[in-house]
Amino acid sequence: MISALVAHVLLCAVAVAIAAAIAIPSALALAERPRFERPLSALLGALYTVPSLALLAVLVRFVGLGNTSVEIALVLYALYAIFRSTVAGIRAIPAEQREVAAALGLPDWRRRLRVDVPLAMPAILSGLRIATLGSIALATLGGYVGGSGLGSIVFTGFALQNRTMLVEGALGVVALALLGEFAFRALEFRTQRL
Amino acid sequence: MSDAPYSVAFDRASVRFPGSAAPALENLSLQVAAGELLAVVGASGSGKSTLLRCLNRLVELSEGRVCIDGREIGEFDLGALRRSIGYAIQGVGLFAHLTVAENLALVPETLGWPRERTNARVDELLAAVRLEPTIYRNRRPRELSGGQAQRIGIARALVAYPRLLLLDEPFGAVDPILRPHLQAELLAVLREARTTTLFVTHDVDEALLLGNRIAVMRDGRLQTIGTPRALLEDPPDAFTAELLCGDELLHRYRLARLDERGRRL
Repeated sequence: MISALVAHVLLCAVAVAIAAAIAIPSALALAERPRFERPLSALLGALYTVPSLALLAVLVRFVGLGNTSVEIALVLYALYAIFRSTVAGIRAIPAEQREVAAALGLPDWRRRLRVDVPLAMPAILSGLRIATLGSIALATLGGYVGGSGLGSIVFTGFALQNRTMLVEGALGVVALALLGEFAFRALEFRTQRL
Repeated sequence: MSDAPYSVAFDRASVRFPGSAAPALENLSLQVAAGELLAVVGASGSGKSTLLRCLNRLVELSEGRVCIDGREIGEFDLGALRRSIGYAIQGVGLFAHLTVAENLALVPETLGWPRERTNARVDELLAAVRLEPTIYRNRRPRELSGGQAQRIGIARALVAYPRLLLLDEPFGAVDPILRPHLQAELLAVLREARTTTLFVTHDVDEALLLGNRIAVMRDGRLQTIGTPRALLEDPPDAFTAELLCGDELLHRYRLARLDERGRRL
């Protein structure tokens, strides 16, 4: 049970970290360039709408059963929420603030890191929260294709008609989701107080 | 340390914004000498702010040229140009997530100043705008009054020894009771800074107090330009006369204040 819980957390944390490392810089670079941002949003949105079981099935076909397939699916789903919310957060920065930042003559990346990111932080965090909660749910489904998260306990319990296992696994997922929600809400609250 | 102040020249400059029929600037020519303080007055919508924003290229010209030190503005590296120009606007635009010191340090950091030099300069400017550095250095913008925020905005514009200073209604949001105080303070700070300054205001008395010369704007055009004394004593046209002189009593009062300013300087 503990090892499945740890595996679950790891699967999700790694997926959100990879997705954030891709989505946040892309969003920062593309927020002011709708011509490039829109097609990428559409592509990520299309990926996001693919039903998760179907996506897992396709990945298993090419990557095989196991955690790798689950991890890829988690990253692909997380990208959309993080990218969209970062773009929205940057676009919501008041025009005068962005103009002052431009007038200071900061190089683009310095301006993005010193000004854009902190000002868009509440939106970025809410994107990360949605991505994390989505990952926690989806990683459970990963148990169906050989992933080692809490889903493996749920599905084994299901197969063996073992109610204790089933409930244990399910409660673990619920607890993780609540914990993730609470942690991100607390962070968002702190950044909004500024 | 500080590079020489810029001279500025507009040559038949026009700006048209898409979707608006009347040009924001029309066929405007004027020169500002290095070290001069030009006050720009006019009604809102007369193109005052646009004039300033051409210089740091927040606005691009549709026609004509703007030159700094005789070089067309487009030839400068945009980032380097902007870092050499201080810009402060009404409502300041301090960044809420940064402390006062961090706000002031943005440009020095980019210029690669050593930390001690930046810190010393920040304290020096806070003292110059009469905000005790030990108290205000680590405050956040939301912990400042309007007048304090305004002074920090001007300090930020001055921090990296700008060669040109653009002030767009810097006291627009300040309590009228506090304004004369801030104006006197600004004058002292500017005398110290020895830079070229374009100062936009709709307050005629502020323009008369601060400007070496005054440019009067009307509907995107330069109505007239001259020294406060020349414009007050002999306004070249009815519009300028009405804007600057007011009724007879106000006119005499303003001339008297100008004499007083002459004696003080």
